Amino acid sequence: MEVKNHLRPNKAQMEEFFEGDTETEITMLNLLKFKEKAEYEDGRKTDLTGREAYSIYGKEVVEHLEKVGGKSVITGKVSRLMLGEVEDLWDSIALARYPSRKAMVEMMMDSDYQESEKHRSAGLEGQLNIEFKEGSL
Amino acid sequence: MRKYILLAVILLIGIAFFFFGGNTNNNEYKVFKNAVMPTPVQIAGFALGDDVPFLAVNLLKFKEKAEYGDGRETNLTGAQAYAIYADEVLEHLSKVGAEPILGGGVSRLILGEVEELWDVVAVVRYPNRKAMYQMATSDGYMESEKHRTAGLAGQLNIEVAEGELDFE
Repeated sequence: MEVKNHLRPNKAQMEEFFEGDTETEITMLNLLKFKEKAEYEDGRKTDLTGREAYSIYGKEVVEHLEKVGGKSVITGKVSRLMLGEVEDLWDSIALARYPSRKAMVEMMMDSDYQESEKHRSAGLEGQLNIEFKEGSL
Repeated sequence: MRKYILLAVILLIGIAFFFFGGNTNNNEYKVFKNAVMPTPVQIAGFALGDDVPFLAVNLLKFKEKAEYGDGRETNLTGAQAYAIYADEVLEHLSKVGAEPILGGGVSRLILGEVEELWDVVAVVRYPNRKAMYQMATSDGYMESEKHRTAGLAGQLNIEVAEGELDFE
């Protein structure tokens, strides 16, 4: 099977933010793959690695999450795959909980968030972001 | 003459697609494979590494209908068979000092592409690798595990060293 990490949602994925249940709690599992060296979109010079640039975003996003009632639940480094095979294993994971999809969109539209996001896109090669509903096994 | 123009256009479209087609991001498609059983190398990994707690992030894909290894008749779906295992495994986990952290049904993929989306995410914390190996090889667990293999089409299980928010 095939998997592809992305930096930004595609059009269909953007539209889905506003469809269906936008009001109840969601949890996001982020599977992150960093660039070797950070590259800022504004072209600024940097000696940061991708992981270091993303870490700036990682620290700043905590506050942005809290503003909309969200929370960072788990973060960690991927050490290995115990089951299955992946051609290019992810570097880190992050789990965040949002009160709703609406809250997540609200965070993403915030100008302060967008400022922090520059470090995300500088450091991140791509990711999967899996939305799930806790408890509904 | 028209035939050649048509041919040239088709060729051009082909070349354009080769360079620009579909690949809107920098990175390419990567192959992955869900599995039910670990490889020998993965099993050997349980004997290595530090004696430290870790998280197991499970991405699960169920079979449509459950299929038991012993061939018994069943009307269960894959998800239902796995639910029996999920219920029983709680006790096996607690015996070795492990605990389920959170889990739930996958609703969609917000970022990225996956050929076939997983059904469930489940995160478990183990005190160390030895504890997980000990659980997986105990008789009681292996009895419960029959429901797991009956229901599971395959999974990824990602070992994560839980850390601070700085990712470094």
